[in-house]
Amino acid sequence: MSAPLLDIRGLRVSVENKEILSGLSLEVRAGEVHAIMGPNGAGKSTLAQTLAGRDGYEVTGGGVLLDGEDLLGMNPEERACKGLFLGFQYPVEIPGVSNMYLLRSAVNAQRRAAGKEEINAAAFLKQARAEAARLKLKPELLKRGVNEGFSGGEKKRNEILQLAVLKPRLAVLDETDSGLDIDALKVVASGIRALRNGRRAFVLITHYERILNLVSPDRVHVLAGGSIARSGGAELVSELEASGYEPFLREAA
Amino acid sequence: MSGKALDIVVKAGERRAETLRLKHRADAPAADALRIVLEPRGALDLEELHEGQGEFAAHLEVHVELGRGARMRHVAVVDDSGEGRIEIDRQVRLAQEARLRFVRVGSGASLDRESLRAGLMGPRSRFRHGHLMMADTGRRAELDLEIAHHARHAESESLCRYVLGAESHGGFAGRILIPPDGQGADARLRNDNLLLDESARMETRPELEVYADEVQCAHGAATGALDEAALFYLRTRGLPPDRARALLVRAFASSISNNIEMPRAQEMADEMLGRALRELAPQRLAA
Repeated sequence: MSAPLLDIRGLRVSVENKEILSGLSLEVRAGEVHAIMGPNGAGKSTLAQTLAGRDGYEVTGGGVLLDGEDLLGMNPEERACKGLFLGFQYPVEIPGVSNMYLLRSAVNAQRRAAGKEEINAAAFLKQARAEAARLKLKPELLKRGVNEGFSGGEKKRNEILQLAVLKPRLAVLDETDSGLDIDALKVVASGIRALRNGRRAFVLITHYERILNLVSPDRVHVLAGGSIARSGGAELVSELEASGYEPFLREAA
Repeated sequence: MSGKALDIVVKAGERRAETLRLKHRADAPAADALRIVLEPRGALDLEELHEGQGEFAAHLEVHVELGRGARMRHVAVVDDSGEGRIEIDRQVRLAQEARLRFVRVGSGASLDRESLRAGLMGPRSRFRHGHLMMADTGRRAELDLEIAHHARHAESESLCRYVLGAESHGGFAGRILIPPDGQGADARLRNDNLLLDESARMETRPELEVYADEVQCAHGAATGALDEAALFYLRTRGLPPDRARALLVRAFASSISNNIEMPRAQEMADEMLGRALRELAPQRLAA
């Protein structure tokens, strides 16, 4: 059995002195899609933000290895250059920095970190436009400020566009499906499916079954009471839809 | 004082472009007064480019008079290497249907103080104004602005932005004045300030004084540090923190610096901006 791409061991995280994650463990191997489901306040976003390295999320125990390296000891830009991508639940708007400029800067920052040359601007423009078209994002949106004036659906599709261009090893998508209508959801799901391969892993954090019908997970975990309360295969999703989260809250207590 | 005055008169219906390069030295400031007159339907593109060396103290009076239907685009750039003091007093009068677009950017002077009195004297005259100051390490930038609507259906829009680094001081006093003859005025005033260090100080006072009915006015000010969420977002995409900060500062400045539209002024402003970005010390951000 190969070593996991993402290895979370007994992770304890506090936010403003309140413990949110109390010993979460998870192994994700390259090529796998894992879903993390759970009620509001369970700590799903806390997990995502901790993995990305946000200030204010205090790790009080445990550890995280990405490809065998200590992830928690790296700052956010180092984690990105090691192949981690976080799809935000609430992507921020950045007027004055164009989407295209961000894409190119991000690609070049990561190439520089890997000792590679910067990407050819013209070739990149073409590639970025093609990816945007696949995600049904109008070309004018690339010229606008990052997420500036974007609808909720456009913001989420823009996260997937960045994912498609940056081609990370591990993509953690924090409720990328929330607030989407069925058409946007299909586009997001097809974007994820197109990037699914033997080298890459996905962690889909979600409330709802919908996206998991379109991107079938290899493993499903229920985050409740600060840690993984139950893990299973895709069939766990239907069980959750039928029972709700309550039984798992009792288990976790 | 050199007692030097520069005059530009644009004749009726004439179109002109002028570039004034004003080099201020400690013993010899470039000019004292600039007088610009546009006769009716005259058009002028004016680049007013100030450079300084050493400990100069320059005081410039600028008078701009636009006749009926005249059009002017005016960009003033002050790019100083650090010890100079520049004070500019501007008076602007716009006749009926005259239009002025004025962009002022500055960085580097130990004191950059400007006062601007704009009078919309004729109906349907229009004044668009952008002001960008970048100050750090003990420098001061001040603007005292009054835009008065003395005639009907005049329009004014002013956006003033300050970027303040360590130990710097910014001051903004901006007033929209609409006396009773300013009916149907459309006047907007906005001051936004970015503090890159705990030791930066900004004083802002936007005011609105309205004595007419049926006017549309808006005024406001906001002062804060770089958006933490935006910084984090950029870092999660692989950008190192100093690049992310520089990008956000440039983005903040760009809403004014991107609207210069005149090549030499744009080039000078871009260089000034680039240098200011390198020198600004964004280390100690307010918590």
